[in-house]
Amino acid sequence: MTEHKTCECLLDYFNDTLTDEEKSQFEHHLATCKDCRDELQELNMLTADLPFSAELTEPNEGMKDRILASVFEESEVPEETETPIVIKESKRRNYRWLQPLLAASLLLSLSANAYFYLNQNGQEISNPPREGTDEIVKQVQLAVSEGYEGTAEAAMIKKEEGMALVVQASNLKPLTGNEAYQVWLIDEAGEKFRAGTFRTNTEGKGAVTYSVNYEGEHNWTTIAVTLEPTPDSQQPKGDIVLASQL
Amino acid sequence: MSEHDIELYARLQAKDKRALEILYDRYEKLLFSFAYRMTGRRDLSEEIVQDVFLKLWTKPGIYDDTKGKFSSWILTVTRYAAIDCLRKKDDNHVELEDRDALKSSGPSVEEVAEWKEKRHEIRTAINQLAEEQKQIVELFYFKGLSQQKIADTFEIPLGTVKGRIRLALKHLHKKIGGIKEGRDHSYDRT
Ligand SMILES: [Zn+2]
Repeated sequence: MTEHKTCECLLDYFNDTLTDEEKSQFEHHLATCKDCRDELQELNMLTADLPFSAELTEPNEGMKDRILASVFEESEVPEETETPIVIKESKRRNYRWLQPLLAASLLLSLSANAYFYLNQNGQEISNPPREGTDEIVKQVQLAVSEGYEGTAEAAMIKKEEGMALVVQASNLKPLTGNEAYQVWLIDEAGEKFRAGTFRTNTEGKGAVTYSVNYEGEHNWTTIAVTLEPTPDSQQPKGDIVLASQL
Repeated sequence: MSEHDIELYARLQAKDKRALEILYDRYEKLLFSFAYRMTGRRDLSEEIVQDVFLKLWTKPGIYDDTKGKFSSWILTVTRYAAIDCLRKKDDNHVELEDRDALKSSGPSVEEVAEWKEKRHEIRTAINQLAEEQKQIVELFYFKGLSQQKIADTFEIPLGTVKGRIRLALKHLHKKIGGIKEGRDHSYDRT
């Protein structure tokens, strides 16, 4: 590129339409060409106010919870497999509490171990669950351990590709530092399996969906939620906060 | 007294989630509205806002005060995220339309003060531009098109694109200045 040609890249540099190579070439050029630097500065100055012309547009419902959950998730997630749950319109009233959670998990397209905030003011997320062939096979209320507070419900959902576990908790004590709530499934042999990690929002609510696909056959006897010092405990280190027979 | 952006950013750097949340609350509407102004789609606008906050949270040192005011910087990041999104979703589709029709805006508590002040002035100034200049600003700034695409759209020689863009932007800047002055002037008299 001749000098003159390079100067002509300024607007495309500003709009980020250059290839990586052109871009780095232009950045080198920028260091030596005062005209381009001045012009770029002028361009920034002339356009600085333009974003403020935007008409106020109300954000999507539930957007804050989705975004914060996914931002925090991205940075701290241990690798585990969790998938969105698809469930058909419920005819049974007693798992209505699942609806917002299921809807949220659909919206999130959970691909990794996801904990997420429920809507702060308890609003339901409006998108209805999609059609599907899934069936809730088991649903339990977890009992709280002495010295702790909180409530939780769990449901096992049979999906075409396996079993999914959904846990939703509220009124839990706030977490500090790296602490996390960890869900465990315990089988007949007393072996404990990680089944989802979650954190609570400012109101002490938290939830997680987890796809249960451990090797071998397991006859689950117990589900428990522990308070762990970090989100990556492979075996429980903290106290059991909530538990139920399955 | 609310904390300054820069203090919140410092806390965020130390992985304080609450600080990110406060910044989120402060900028959600502005960034979403701006992204929507650029893309015209709610789903994409949410993706864009998410992208911005993800960068903020996961890329340490992405902002520092050599990059100017935090609000200007985060808007620039949003614009690039939106441009990127527009390119991925819709490569060759260019619309010339006036999306500026005024709609009533609901009450808002968390608005960035600067936005409230400037929105009306800038919109008025844009509306005062000649139609062609308005569209140049639209395609260049809000759609992030290359010079070549702008030349193609307006069927003008590539060599003249830059001149027209600068002229339109300078014209707009002057008009904004004029409106501000007019406002200050009328304040003086009352
Ligand atoms: Zn140059």
